[in-house]
Amino acid sequence: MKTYEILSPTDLERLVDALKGLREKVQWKHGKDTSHLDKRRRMRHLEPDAGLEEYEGIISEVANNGQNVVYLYKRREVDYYAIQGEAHGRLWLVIFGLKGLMETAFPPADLDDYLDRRGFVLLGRIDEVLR
Amino acid sequence: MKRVEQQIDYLWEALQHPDVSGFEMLEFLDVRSKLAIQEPLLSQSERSRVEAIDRQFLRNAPVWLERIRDVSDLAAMRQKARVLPSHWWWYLDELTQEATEVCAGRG
Repeated sequence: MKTYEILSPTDLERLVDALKGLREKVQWKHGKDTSHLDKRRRMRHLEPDAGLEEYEGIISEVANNGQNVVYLYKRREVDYYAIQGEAHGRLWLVIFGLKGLMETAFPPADLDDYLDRRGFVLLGRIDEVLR
Repeated sequence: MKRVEQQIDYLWEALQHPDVSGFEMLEFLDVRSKLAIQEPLLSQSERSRVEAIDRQFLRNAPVWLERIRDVSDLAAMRQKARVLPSHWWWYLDELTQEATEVCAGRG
């Protein structure tokens, strides 16, 4: 059994909906796009002159690679999803919620350790989930 | 650049961005814990920078706690991450609660 098959039909539908939403368009909570971009530039995760287009390009690249794996993180009644994938020479973690609304996208210094310590549950490859 | 300097730079820069996701703030706590292991080996100037980071972190504790609470329960996170009791930055919830009680004259 694939891990994502443990999800109820409703939860699986939510996940598929979120993945499709993110792959179609990167959407941020109000005003969060620029604050995240600013931090990525200041932390040297992006070039100092990088624009939102470049940042969102990385997010789209990670989300649209069907070989990348997706995780589930539960906070009370709220589900967050995360995809890890390589883009622009770094391993990124893209975290998003219902309908694909962005929570954050950053390259943790130790991604495996980060996922393990937070309790993210591996669901499977994106292309398997969307099949 | 030494790893410890990179960690200090990371912590300082991350502190300047309290308006991002609590998921990123949890990484700040991870990195602070990694740095703690090396604290006995820090130079005087590195130690001063860490003290400045800790001071600013404490000053903004309520904001950080709010962001972190949006995405996680710190008590549960301490357990999952097997946090050492001496790593006080993981106890923002309890520190903030204590401060509130002291201010209210219940301490």
